[in-house]
Amino acid sequence: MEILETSLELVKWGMLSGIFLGISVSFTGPLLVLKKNALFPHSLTHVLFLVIILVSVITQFLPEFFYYPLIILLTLLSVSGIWIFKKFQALYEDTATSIITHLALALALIVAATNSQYDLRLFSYLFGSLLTVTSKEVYESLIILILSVLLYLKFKGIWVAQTVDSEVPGVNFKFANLSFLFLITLQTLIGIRILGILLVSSFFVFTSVVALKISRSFGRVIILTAFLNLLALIGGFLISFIWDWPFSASTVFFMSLYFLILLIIKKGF
Amino acid sequence: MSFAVIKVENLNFYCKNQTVLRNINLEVNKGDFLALIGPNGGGKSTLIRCILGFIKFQEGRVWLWNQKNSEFKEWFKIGYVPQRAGNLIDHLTPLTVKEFIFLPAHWYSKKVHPKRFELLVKKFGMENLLNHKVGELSYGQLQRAYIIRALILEPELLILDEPSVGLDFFTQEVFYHTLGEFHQKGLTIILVTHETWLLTKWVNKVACLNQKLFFHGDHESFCIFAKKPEFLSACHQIEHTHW
Repeated sequence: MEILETSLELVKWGMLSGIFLGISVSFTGPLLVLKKNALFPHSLTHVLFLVIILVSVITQFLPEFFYYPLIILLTLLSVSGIWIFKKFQALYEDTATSIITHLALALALIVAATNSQYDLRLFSYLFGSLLTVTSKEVYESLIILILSVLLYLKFKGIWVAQTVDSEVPGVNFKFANLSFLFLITLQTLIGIRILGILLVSSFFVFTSVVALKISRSFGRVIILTAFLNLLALIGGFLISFIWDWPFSASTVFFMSLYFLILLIIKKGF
Repeated sequence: MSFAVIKVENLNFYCKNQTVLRNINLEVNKGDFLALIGPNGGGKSTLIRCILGFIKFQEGRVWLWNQKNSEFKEWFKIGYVPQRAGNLIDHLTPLTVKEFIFLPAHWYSKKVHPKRFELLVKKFGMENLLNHKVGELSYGQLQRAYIIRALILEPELLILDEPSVGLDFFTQEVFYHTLGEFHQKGLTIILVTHETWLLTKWVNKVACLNQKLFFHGDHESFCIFAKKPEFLSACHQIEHTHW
């Protein structure tokens, strides 16, 4: 018990940040699934991998203040490559996403291999760790949660409309889409610190799909996704504590159990 | 004197070096029930999308209630049912039929009158389906949900782009009969259709489009035009004019 208390003390910032992120993601994850764009956060993590390396190199010559704005700006520019490929090469969205994902990964490896100066933060970004999360990131994730709620309230009608209509008279989808993209980028950036680049995209997809399968209305989907995310964080922590597994992998493993339960319930009834 | 709800002036639209719409001039007056007919690929849906501002056309002007469509703000006055409505909806879509019908209230920050909602739901026989997920509806039920949604904010103009594709004959009859009732009460309707049997039954204006507008007038004049050889050649010939 004492060990558990000590562990909790060590990971308290990480858990708190995870809780805020879990709730925040529940506003965007279900929409991504409905837009048949569930692989987008996966692509985003690869783009972020490249951008973080680039910015780590650049910020050696710039003040720390520029770190996050540069990451967000470069990420948004890079993911717009998906749109460019889709529009000008007339490709399917998933094909364009795949191209950008692999291109970003390849470039990231080239930059990493040719530059030994990049930030040590990269290792925690790759695999995630509750221990590396500080109070600063808790505040950041809280801000993102507040931003998620505000943007959801502002654009709810348009975001939901896009899952059933491709065009609505007098309704401009562009600004709402850009806000959605901006929000997902921020959520992914924070999520990377906890779950790592390799697994953060699972946070957007697993619980959203389960919630979408069993909820009738969008309001219930959000509540259920948030609840399942929190449960997964606690479950993931306990599994990693008991069996000494990596936290990020334990959390994803725990989330996969939801599908098993869903399958059993469906078969049972 | 009749009031123009829609006025299209000298509209030209080109796409990938091909003329899609050529010198379109069209006027839809308050109280019209206009059928927009023409062959596949003739530009009917494109014209509707130009009118609604989804497509930026290269030349010409579109006026809605005497305002340029690019400056028009009162979009709640228009109810719209798109072509192939519902192709994005599936079993995961987390909207009940009631929430789906109420979406325009969010888009245009307008309130739905409960009596209007009840009337429409009853009229289109959707009372027992309101708490179902939209993804659970059959195609015909979904079309009815789209129509109710388009009418929920009491629009002055209803635009329907091939709304009855896939509906059986009896459902179509009920559907058009109900539309006819709304038209009698003053609703202006534009109906993109291939079902020419409708022309004699419900509509009072006809526009025949195949890149250019071959005919635009009342139903009686159309009956005369339809017997002429020009009508047949207009409907069969799709020109791909390079510019």
